[in-house]
Amino acid sequence: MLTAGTRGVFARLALLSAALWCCAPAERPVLAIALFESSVAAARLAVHDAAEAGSRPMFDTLIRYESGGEASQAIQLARDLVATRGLVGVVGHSNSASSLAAAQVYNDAHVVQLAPTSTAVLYSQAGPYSFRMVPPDDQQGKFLAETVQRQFPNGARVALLYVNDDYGRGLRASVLAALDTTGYALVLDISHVDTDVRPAVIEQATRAASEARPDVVLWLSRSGMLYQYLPPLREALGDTPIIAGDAVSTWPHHVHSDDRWAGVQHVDFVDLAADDSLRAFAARFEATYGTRASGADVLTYDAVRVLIAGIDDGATTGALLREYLTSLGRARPAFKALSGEIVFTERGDVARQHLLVTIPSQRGRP
Amino acid sequence: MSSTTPRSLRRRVLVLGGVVASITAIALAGVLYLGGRQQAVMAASTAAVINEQRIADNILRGVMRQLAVVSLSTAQRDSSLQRQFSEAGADVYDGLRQYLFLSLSIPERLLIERVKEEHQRLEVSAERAMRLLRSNDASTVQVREEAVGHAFSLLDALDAFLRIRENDVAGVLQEQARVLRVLSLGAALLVSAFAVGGTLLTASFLQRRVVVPLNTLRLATEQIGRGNLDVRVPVAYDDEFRRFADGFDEMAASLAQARADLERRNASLSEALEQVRTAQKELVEFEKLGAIGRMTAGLAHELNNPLATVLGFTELLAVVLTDHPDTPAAELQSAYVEPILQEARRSRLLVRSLLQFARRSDAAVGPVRLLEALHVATELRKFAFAQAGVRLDTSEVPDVVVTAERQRLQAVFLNLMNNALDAMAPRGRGALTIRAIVTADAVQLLVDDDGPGLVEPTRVFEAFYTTKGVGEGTGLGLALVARFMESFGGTIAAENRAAGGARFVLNFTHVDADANERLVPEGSPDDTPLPRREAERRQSVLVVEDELPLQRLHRTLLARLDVDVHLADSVPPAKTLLACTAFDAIISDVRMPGESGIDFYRWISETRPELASRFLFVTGDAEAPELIEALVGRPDALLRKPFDAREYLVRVAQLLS
Repeated sequence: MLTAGTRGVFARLALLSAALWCCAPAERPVLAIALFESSVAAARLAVHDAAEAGSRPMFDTLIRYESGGEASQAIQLARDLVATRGLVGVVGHSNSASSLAAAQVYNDAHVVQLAPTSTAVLYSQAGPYSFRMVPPDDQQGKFLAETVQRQFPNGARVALLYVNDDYGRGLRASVLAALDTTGYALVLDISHVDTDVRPAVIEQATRAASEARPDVVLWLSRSGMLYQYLPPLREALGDTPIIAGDAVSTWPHHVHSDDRWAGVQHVDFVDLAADDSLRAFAARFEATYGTRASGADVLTYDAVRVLIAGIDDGATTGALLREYLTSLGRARPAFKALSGEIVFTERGDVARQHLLVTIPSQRGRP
Repeated sequence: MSSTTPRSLRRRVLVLGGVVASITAIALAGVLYLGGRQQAVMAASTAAVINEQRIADNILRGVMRQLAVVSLSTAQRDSSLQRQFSEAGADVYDGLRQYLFLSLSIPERLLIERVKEEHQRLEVSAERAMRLLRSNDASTVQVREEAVGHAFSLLDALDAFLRIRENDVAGVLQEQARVLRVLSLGAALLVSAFAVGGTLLTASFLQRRVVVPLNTLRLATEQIGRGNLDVRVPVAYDDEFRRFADGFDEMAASLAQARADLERRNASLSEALEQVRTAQKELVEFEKLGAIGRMTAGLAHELNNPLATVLGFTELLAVVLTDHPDTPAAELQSAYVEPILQEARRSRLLVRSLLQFARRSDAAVGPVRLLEALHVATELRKFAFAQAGVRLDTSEVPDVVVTAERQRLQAVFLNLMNNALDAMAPRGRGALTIRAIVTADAVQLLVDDDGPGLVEPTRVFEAFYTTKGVGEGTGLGLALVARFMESFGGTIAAENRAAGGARFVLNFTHVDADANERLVPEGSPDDTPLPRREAERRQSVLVVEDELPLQRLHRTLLARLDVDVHLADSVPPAKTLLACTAFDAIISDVRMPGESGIDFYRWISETRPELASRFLFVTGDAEAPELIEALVGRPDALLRKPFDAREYLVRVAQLLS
């Protein structure tokens, strides 16, 4: 729960943002945040921390929420944002599909787009103004296959459930390519639509999984869908391990009273217990928002901070901000973020190590 | 004053050409660039259209294949169909991915995202349907219908997307057509503008840099042609014209200087020429005087001889008339009067020849009796030749008329005679033979002497050329001869004869017989008795003569015409006589003390015009210019002294009749 002081700070920040939005001269750079409401907290915290760190108020922050993560919605949102005078950068969107759909709009408008968690392979081809805080999925597919090999060195029946969009299709392709080299049997290959949570559909998929009798389930979809699929899957497959892609790293956004997440393994790029700063961030985040911080939150936080750093450095246009990002680790030092030093590759990616995180039981947590 | 060197016209032309060429090249490059860019845009648009058509075909083909797989899976339940379904789906997704990275409008992007989502749903539904078929699930049909529904939605979205793209392509084509029209029009305008501008620029350049300087130079040249040598060309021209103008100015200055020098020289030459003319006249006169002087001795002797004869016979006649008064008249006539008369006539001829030679003549060239002129010279030099022992033979010269001037022709003969005489006289012998060869158009006269010949025959006609000693000749005699012959339209040449001596060849134009007939030969002595008249009524004649002997001669001769003679020794008493007496004729001398006979004639013409036609001048100075002027229209009003008594009486009788 937010404390009264924190709420006051946020309230003042909101008022300040609104005032700046209304009264700021046109030439002041504008930084926009376009994420799920559940992911915006980390961005707010980053803006707050930047202000606390003494960053001059040389920019305005515009926060827009995504609701479903659909491409069409992302395009509409991007169109609205690029109409904003002074817009130089956008932190968003919530997933690969929406980020990829909006990327052309930003590139056409010469506005930097920094996606915190979008790992779709195609995003690397989106354009010169498209950046992301994570590596592309071709490496994650290999990591997942190696994980399966490591956990089942004698072979395993693999069931693959993926979301049929840019994220799921790309990650599935890289996983299948990696599995082909191992000789492990793919006993199930089922797709679903990200928003289709009809019980019949879930039941049919679960039944198919049960019939396939897999040794391991590879979940290449997002946390929200897994949250819906977990109960029937557990019922049908028992303790069969479920290894998910990085999209499940946002599982804390879907925590309820039950403990269905316990034991689910997922890929992450940030180990919140790796050092004191991350632990402090996690603690502060949870203290501020009343929910656990995820690796995605850290990446969102870092994404906002690196763009603010660029604006502070004098980037008053999208082109200058892009120049700032590409110069990190080259013409200027790498940006020291919570998730580590940020240096963008030529394709706009950040090279990171893939981590396999097992979601602990939530029982006993407040 | 600025010291900057004028720019070269050649450089200006090169710069102008360079500028025009550069601008033209830039314009052409611009047109080519725009045309090329537009061509590239069109090529890119065409390629994009073709590519999009291919992408759309791939998407449609993939969807159809997936639907076909779903349909086949109903009957066969073949697991390989799953792989074909996935491959077809991958093709569709690949096509959609290509669309994702095209430059699309927001509506297009929304539509293509909708296609993608419908395709995702189609795939999910189709997989479910195939999976349910394998498990004989009852809901298979519903799921298949759901898949088909997504397929239709996909096709609808794709159709809408392609329609927009078609409209975009049509718009692009229209825009390209418009741009091409603008480019064509712009290129045409550009070329026209450059053509007009280039023409104007070139015309202006030629006008300012070529035509104006040339006009200026032309005007300056015309000024020079009119004699204005002070004209100068302005300095503000290009180097070539500047140098030309400088040269022109220098030329004008040189011409002015040359003209000034020429005028000075002309003045000097005119002065010198005048001096030469004066000297020449003086020399000619001097030469004449010299010739006359040389003739004087012989002439004196020539006159003295007849005068001695006249004097002797007259004295004898007086003695005979005193001592023998009965001597018959016929004896007196033949023994005394005839010699006296003969010698007097000879004297008259000598005097007339001398006067004719000595007088100045301004007469024009015309028909002249060759023999008459030759006789004048012969008469003047006959005694000198005889005294020197040199024979003068003119017997073979016929009486022909040639084109000449009488006085100058006489001078020609006299100079040739003098020249021959001077050459032969020292030897005391020799002969000068003058012969003529007459043809229809020419008369050639050969003057041969027996002298030592000519030293330099080609130079004898040069002025002041002489081989005589100092003071013996002026060197102008033969030069005058040549000049006179030239003035006649004839020629003269000198050569040495093979037999020895010199030869002068004179060529004259032979004048026709009519002209010959118009000339009246000098009258020859007439031996008929003197005319005598018996007047029906008494007539009066006024004689104005200052010489008493001549007064007596007039009175004696006029007595034969039976008239009253009134004598006056000058003009005033003659006027007094005219006031009181009616006269039928007036005979007057010319040169008298006081008023001349010419003055008297003019007075008569004014106061007594009826007597002007009966006025007769008797004078020895018949060549006086004022007399010739007074006798215009009346050539018969003159009788030369010494006159023949017969001619005198005939002329007076004519006046009285």
